Amino acid sequence: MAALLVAALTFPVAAQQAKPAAKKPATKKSTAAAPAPAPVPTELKFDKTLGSAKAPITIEVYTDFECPACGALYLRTIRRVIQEYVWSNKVHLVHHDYPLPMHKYSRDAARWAVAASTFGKYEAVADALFENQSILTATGTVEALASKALSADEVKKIKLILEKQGSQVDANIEGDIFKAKTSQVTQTPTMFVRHKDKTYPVVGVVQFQVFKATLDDLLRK
Amino acid sequence: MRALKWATLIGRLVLGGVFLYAAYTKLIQPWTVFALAIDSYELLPASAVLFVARWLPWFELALGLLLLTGFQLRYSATVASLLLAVFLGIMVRSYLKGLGIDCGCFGMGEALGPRTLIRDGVLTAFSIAVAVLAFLQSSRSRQPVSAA
Repeated sequence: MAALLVAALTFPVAAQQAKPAAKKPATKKSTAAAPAPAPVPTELKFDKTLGSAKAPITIEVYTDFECPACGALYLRTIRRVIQEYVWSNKVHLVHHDYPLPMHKYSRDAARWAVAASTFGKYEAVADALFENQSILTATGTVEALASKALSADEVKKIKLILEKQGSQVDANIEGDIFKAKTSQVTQTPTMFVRHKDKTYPVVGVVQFQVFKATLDDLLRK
Repeated sequence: MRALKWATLIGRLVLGGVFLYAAYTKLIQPWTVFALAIDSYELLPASAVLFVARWLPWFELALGLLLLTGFQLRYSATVASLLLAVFLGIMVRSYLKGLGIDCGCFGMGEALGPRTLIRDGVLTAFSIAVAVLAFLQSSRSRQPVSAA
């Protein structure tokens, strides 16, 4: 335990903030040997949010990576919300994972995405998983699909996290499941759109044009 | 004849009140919230969803007023019955599809389920009864009164 603490203090790993992660410039290596992945800190910080926390609208979305409706919502609507509202600081997007028991691989998929959130890659992994949802459901090859959005080092890092600190990842998912149940989320996808002191639950798939009208109407208030 | 008149009166007042209440619950919230409820039924393209969300509450308001006043009751009750029958059909379809959505009938927060289906089924039947009563009343009022 002491050794881990010393390692954590010696090799600090900065937690990623909500803004898009700025890529650090690659450091030049003088030797041919590939560097070992950075040690993982004892306590992980998960960041499954996107956009400014000060945005006027917050959208909390509960999804399951194998749920077809969640895939449809993400690919047809949430992607565009990210492009048109999150990056312009109008919406703060918060992801919650709610893997359903009938979906064989969704828990594993969630673990990979949550682990990736420790270095700001939740969205990228989620995008890859939803984009290839049919393959995920058919084959369960979470690593191969998530890897489409990750570098080799990042894949190693996730595997290390899942191996050494999988319990923390699971705790994060369980926390989301608990929150879903207490928020009376009965199916996925479910979104909660929060603006000023009001919360609007949105269940199921929403077409982008309809959702856009809702967001624009709220932003005008 | 007197009983028919009273039954029709009570029927249209109740039905008109229901439509006015339905319109009220939709008009007090942003119209886009109702649009989200309509969209969750996965039935219409976005442009139609937005159109219906904007205008249906006003249509319900107008229909409610017509029913309350009894003006052209045969037609207003018939339109109300058709509207309710369409709603019921859509709700049954969505329920059978397993969509765990809001009914959207009287504002947000009312899940689509057996209770809402039964309620709307009863309302539809009630509306049809009012329409029938209205037609009966109209046809009897046209019958020539026999000489004493």
